[in-house]
Amino acid sequence: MFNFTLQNEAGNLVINLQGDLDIEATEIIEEELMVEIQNSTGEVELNFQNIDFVDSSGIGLLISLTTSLKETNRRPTITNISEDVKMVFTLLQLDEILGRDVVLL
Amino acid sequence: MGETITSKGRNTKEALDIALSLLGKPLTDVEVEIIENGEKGFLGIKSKPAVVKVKVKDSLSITETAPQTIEDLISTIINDQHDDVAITKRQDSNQDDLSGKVWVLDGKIYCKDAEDKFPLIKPSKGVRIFKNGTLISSTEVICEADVIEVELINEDVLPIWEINISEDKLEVFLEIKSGLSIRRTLKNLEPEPLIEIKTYEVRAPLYIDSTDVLHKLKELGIIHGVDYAAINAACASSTDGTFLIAKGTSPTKGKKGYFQLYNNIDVKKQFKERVDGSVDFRDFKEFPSVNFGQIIGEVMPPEEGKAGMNVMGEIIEPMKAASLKIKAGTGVLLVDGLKVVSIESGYPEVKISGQLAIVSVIPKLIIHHDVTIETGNVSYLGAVEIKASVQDGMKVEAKGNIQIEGNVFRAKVLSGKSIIANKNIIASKFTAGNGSLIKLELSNILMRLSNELNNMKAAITQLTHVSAFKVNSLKVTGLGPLMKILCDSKFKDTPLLVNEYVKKVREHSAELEIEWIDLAESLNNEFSNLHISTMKNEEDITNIADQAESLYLSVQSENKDDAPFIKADFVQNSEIYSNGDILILGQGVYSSSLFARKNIIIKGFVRGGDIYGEESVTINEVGYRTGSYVKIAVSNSGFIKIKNASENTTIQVGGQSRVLFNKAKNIYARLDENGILVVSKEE
Repeated sequence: MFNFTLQNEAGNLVINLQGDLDIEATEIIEEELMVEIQNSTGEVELNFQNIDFVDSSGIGLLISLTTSLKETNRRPTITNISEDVKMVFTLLQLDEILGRDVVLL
Repeated sequence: MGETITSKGRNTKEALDIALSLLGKPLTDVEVEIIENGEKGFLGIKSKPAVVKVKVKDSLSITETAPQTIEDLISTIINDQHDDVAITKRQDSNQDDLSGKVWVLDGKIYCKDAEDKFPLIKPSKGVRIFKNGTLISSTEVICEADVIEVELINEDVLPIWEINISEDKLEVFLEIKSGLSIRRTLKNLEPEPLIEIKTYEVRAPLYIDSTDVLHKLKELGIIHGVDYAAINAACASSTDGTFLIAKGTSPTKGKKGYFQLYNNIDVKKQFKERVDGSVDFRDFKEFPSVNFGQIIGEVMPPEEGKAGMNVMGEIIEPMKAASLKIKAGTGVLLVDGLKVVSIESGYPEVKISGQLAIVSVIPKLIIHHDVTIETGNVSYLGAVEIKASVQDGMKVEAKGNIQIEGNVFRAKVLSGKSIIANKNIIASKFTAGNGSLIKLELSNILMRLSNELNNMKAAITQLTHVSAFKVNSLKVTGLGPLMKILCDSKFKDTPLLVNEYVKKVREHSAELEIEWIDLAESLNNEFSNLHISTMKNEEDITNIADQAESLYLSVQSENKDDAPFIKADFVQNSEIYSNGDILILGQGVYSSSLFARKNIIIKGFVRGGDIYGEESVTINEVGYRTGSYVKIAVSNSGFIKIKNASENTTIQVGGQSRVLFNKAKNIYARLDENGILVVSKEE
């Protein structure tokens, strides 16, 4: 199951993601998380510390989420990626799609 | 018996002289016996006289070889009497010269002391000289009292050999570094105050004992294919080298599966040029054709090769010969998976790419009447055969071959493949193989695309092995979302190539077969919006990549042996374009423009016009009439052959041209290795 908690750090938003970032996360991200983000201000950090599994739909969600955050100038970053998930990011060359300032591999 | 006297003298010569004068006989008439040699004393003291006995010979016993001088006679006699006389004689006869000198004779060093000087010897390489037991290393003084010992240095370089077995264990090599023995003897040297000792060297090769090699082979387990003669030859070699001494038996290859056409099916053959450059036109076939129900051909199974054996005596299994896969194209049925049966009448077509054969029958439209305004233009997907003529202003267009039995007058004829026009072509425009050009372009795109797709498939396979990646989701969503991500990052070219292909196929659909259009459709469906792509797994990607591959491979093989051509009888005021060859086998060409991507052969004459064949142009006769202009051209790498040409014919190879000022025969024009136009001809 996917869920998230929010944390305010010096005026910026830290989103702690938890569970599997997969097709089942679609609803939570698109309906709940997006609303929370719209109601906040400042830069956005996506904390991946507790994300163990991803799938292609989850990555697709992540791409559209980061793209919209960039468009609204929220300077998104993805942090604390586990080694296994990092491998997926590398194989998909996500740094190229998301931007090297967003995801540090 | 003759008279005998004995006489004395200070030496033998003097004694003999006295005896001869007493007898009054020449030396040749007597027998001499030396009784005392006589000895020289110091200043005459203690000297002994020499004594000789001389007997007059019987006249019969006189021989021709008798000595002529007294000295000769004496030395002959002395040699008979003593063993070591040579030295003695020297001492006797050249006594004064020898003092203070050293010499070498028969492996020994001698010297003679002198009061005022010492003989000197210098050692050299290959010999060790000991003076009184001490090795001398440089020039040294010696005297008669010294014990001189000579030790000759003999050298042996033993041969080195090694046995190497090839990786496939089919060959064994003996590698040899040859051996050598050097034997030395002392060189005789004339007496001199200083001599440098010299040696003779006798070099002889040292051979390998072949039984050692055989033992080693046994030890290594080499039992099959041993060549004993080669081993002996190698062992007896005096030069370094590597010798093959055992050879296993390779397995034979076997025969790949192939497609066998039935006897009554003629597949189009290209004309062949004879060695002398002329063309055998009888070999040139008409378009083949089959009726429905006819068996076109059959797939023959591969034949197994024979097993081989390596040098260790192990069996090597033959390589599996590949079988031919057959795919039924349009218009055919596969019976028993082997026999191809036509279900339409038309042209059989066999496309072979690698070990895949696609057999189709291209449907044929047969028109028995003239093509006129009343019948309308002809446009057909398959092949067209017109039994009559094509009239003023009409157009005949077909993806397959076009054959016209009658005349073509002011018409356009376009074929995706080849055209045969058996009568006259007047004021018309012919194009053959226009499908090939676009196919060539498309096959380049497909080659890159199938490569991209295969790489994409490999990337997906890699990804599914990462534990953090949920593979199960793909079953729900399909490959679409994943491919979308891949096309945005690593495989940006894929969507571009797909778009390019789809666009080109749509533009040229009239010239392309259904396979090309089908692939464009499925690429468009699967790739243009990846979210609704129906691709489920890697296999689906492989399928599309394979389809792309078989299409571009078919173009490559087609270009080799199924090039389009135009064959006609007589051409006047027309434009003829062929993506392959042009053959004019009848009367010839009047004021026309001919362009061929390969060869042009004109059996008759050319009067006026422009003839260009990229690879070659061969013409029987080029004629000239006032006001008409003839240009014959080929590319840089092409050649031109004309049997008879009139003056004012322009010949062009690549960018260089030449105008003939006189009539010429047997013209042969090409560029030489320096890129200069060379025209050989007889005038």
